[in-house]
Amino acid sequence: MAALPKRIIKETERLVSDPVPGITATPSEDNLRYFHVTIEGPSASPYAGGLFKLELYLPDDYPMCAPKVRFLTKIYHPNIDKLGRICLDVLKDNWSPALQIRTILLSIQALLAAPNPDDPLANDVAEDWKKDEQAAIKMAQEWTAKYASTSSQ
Amino acid sequence: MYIGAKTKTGKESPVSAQSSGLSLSPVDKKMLSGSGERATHEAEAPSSNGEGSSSGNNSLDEQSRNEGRDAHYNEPSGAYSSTGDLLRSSSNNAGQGTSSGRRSSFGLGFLSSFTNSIRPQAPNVDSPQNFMSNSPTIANISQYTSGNGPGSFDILSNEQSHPPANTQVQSSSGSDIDAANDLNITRVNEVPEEDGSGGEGLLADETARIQQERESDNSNTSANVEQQRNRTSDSEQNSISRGVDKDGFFSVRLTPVIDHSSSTSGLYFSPVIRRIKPLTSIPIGRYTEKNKSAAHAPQGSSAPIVFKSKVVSRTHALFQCNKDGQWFLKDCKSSSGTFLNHIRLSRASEESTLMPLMDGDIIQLGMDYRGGTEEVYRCVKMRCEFNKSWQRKVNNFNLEIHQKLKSLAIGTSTNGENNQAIGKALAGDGLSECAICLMKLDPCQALFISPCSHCWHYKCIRPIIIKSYPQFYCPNCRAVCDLETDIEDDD
Ligand SMILES: [Zn+2]
Ligand SMILES: [Zn+2]
Repeated sequence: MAALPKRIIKETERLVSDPVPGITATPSEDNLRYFHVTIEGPSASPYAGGLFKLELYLPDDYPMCAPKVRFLTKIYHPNIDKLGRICLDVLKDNWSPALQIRTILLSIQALLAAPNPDDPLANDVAEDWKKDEQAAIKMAQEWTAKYASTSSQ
Repeated sequence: MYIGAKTKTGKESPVSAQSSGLSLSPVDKKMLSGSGERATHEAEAPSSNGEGSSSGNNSLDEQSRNEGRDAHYNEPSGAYSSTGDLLRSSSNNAGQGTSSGRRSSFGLGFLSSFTNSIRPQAPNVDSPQNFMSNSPTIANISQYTSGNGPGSFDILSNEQSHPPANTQVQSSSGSDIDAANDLNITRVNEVPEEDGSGGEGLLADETARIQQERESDNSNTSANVEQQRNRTSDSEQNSISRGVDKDGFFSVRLTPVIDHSSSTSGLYFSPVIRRIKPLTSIPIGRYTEKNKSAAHAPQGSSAPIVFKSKVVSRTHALFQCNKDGQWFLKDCKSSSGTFLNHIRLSRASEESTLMPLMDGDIIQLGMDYRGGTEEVYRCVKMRCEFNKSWQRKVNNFNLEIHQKLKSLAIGTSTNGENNQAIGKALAGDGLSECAICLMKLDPCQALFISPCSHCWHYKCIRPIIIKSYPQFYCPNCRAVCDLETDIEDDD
């Protein structure tokens, strides 16, 4: 495998030296392009109190293309599908090489705070969300308690 | 903040406050310290027995040198010199006024190497280690010229009015340098019995000779040498300036010489940097299946140097480096020849002696075959530089321009509120960090500045520029720019 680009080394160092509140990202020991990520649910959201695990992978042509990120913890969210895949513009066509791991994780955290059921790419959760937002939020809280509560992990 | 917050609806989200101030690290001011690295120029005094005699050999040397030059200019590059003294042959000649053997490269190559580097100036025959290799700045050079105190030997001004006997002084500035060279060479060549050291002293003798020649390559140093004749050298400075890197390696960089005026331009190759330990060598030869890995060896490795040309023999030549960082070239019985500044080193299938090299020398491997129309039959022509002499030292001009560039990168974007936000966040440090590699933007790096005043290393941004050229989509502020916009003076 080719040597790890200096940019990735730098980003990793900065994630350690200057961590993002509520977010951790730790590179895997056997693959420094693979990160174990946790994100705390934002306080004013249905995900408050939850700790969500994600995986993040930096492809070979990173930063020219976006990191691949996926939720590992089950989550009830209109922009996150059953497999944990995230529908977020900056992970797709709005990616810019000036973005970084930390900015991407902040974007995901922001997505938890502001679910967007109107996104045309949203999944079937979005339908529930639009039909009955209160019920959907309740469901999201239940899932958080069930799958993402810090005490159950 | 755009990057943190925007979802498909563009809804504002709480992350903006949180994320501002996180995205970039503070400016690293360390670059400013680069100005302190300017090379020093303490020259070792030459040994006294080499002093003060601009002798009668001089015109002869000059003459034979010119003859050699002419002969080889008139002949195609394949000419082999049958007169041994045109070759830079063995050390036995070192003390006998054979400056004719060593010819620096001419024209642009010579001039640029002159302006780009102050040559080492330690003509002390007794201690070859004093040889130095520096990269100077304009400031250094002017220091030299202004440093000629009263009574010092000002070669540039005195040479014209009082040419030493038998020295052919010509009027162009280039010739002044030549004349100065001859002066110095002759002076040192007068050292009696310097050739008695025999075979084992070959490298040392060659080094000494190269020192003299290197010294003489820069006329500015002549006066300086005079001035500093009685100073003792600082060995620590010498060890730094000799060009050995922190791992104890010496380095060579080879870049293709492409002659656009000629129909055959020689083989093109990407610049090659190799590093070796003192007293080791590195082979030069043809690319084969066996040495495939060498062709893709990283810059700075010690892998063999290989070229995809059939006029290069499998084991064509080698580079060697002595303990002082002096590099040498040897033809290893190549069939089509190795040329150093147009002079062939040995006949076909004969090994040459070790030829001392200096910055700016042009090496040619083989000759074009079948007119060189096919790539694989082209000779390899390359310019060589040694011991990191190609690395620019930051001078005041570089710093000044960089400072001005920084004030250009004001970091404002008018392309919508989101863009403004990201623009501020990412450009807050102005011209300090490349958003793509996250390394500092420093003087003497190739940079690209977009119309939105964002700036990156050219190498880093190039993939983005070419992807959609001439449309340019700024990764920092997302401004869309047309790089082919007409350039007009607006009054
Ligand atoms: Zn860069
Ligand atoms: Zn921009």
